[in-house]
Amino acid sequence: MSQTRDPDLAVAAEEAALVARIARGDVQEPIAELHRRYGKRLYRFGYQYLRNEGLADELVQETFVRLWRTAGRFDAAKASVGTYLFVLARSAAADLYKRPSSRPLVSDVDIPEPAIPDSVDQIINSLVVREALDSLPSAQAEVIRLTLEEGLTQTQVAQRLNLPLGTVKTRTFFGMRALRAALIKRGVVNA
Amino acid sequence: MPDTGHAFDHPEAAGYALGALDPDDRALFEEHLRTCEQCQAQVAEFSLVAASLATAAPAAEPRRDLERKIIAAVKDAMMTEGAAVLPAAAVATAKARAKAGPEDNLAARARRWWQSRWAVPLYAALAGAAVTAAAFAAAIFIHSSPAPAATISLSAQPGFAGSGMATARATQSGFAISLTVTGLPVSKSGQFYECWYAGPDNRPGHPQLITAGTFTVDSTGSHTFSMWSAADPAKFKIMQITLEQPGDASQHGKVILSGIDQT
Repeated sequence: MSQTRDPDLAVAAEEAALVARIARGDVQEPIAELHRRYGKRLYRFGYQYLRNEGLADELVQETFVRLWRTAGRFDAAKASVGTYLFVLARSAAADLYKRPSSRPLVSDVDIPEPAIPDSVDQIINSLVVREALDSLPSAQAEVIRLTLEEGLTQTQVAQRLNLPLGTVKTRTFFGMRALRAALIKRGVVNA
Repeated sequence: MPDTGHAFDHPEAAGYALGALDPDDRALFEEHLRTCEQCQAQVAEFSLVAASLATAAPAAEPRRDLERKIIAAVKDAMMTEGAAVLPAAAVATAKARAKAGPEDNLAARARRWWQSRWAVPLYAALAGAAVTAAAFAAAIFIHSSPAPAATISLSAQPGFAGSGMATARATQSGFAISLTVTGLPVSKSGQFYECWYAGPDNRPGHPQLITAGTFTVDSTGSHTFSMWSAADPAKFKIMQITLEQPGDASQHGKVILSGIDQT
């Protein structure tokens, strides 16, 4: 009888093995691999809450340094490596924000402290939504992005892209359908 | 699920859920929506998607060299904190390596050489290192040494630009350093860049730094320098570049470039 191997469990075991190698002091290859898998998400998380490219860079570096420091205590039975990385990143983001040199040179009253989500699930959710949007065909993603990020109406989007209004409407429609499917696939919304 | 054929007739459902319809289109679609259960269901579905989109992380892209910087940062931390936090397994590996006997490569030989001659008077000796004479010595030894005792890739610290590469080669009198920098801002009149070796215990308030020399750069931002230092790169694995002004011999400027020995 053949056994079906759960791909998620296989990935979790593989990533736990990478952390175990880091715990043994073998850092180069495992960290490079984990960075390839999570670096972009960690960076976007850092950029989202620190609003600065340099600090986002620093956050990713600090997250992996903290991973090395604590790799010996990582327990795969309690959390996935991805979740663990975002727990570390959240803590690093809070520390970086508190650092005086990270603050903008304006009154604290003018710049509200960014709301770092309490839950790692919230962080991961925001990153998964971004990835789902990135997975759309570019023509569909573009019209949704212009609405979402620049607040344009469909007529303004049509003018910006030099497209008929009807084309913008249908691209938005099919883009939203594809996005819904992508979000269902990723477990963000229910079918 | 809404009827697909009907939904195609009313693509405004997506724009409506996103709040992107123009006023006239919105009024017309809302009129239709009052009596159309298919479109009501479609709008409900798209509204969930639109709500998720509001939480999307920004579309920021990390720099291409971030992976290299991360690995350098972790190795840097291993250097400075390793003894305190090294997991038991790594300690065992290190002990096994130690038990296997001394390494027989150029870096190890250079390290042993340094330990036999400079372990105690290191700091005093370094304070007297003459950069001018070093350039001459470096020019000789760089050509005669077959392999570097240290190779350090320097990357810009957050908020700064530039990069660099340094090699250190063991000589009979210390180490000849060849440093190439690119993309550094022009050093203004009275300012100079300074190259430092940082030791394993270097930290704020407890500097363990040895200067390897100073230099300036012109509008090209790129230069290759030959310097000289008695600091053993096997121990002082971290190299830093700061921008300094004349004063005492301490490090005052922020670290602009930093890297760790990769050999």
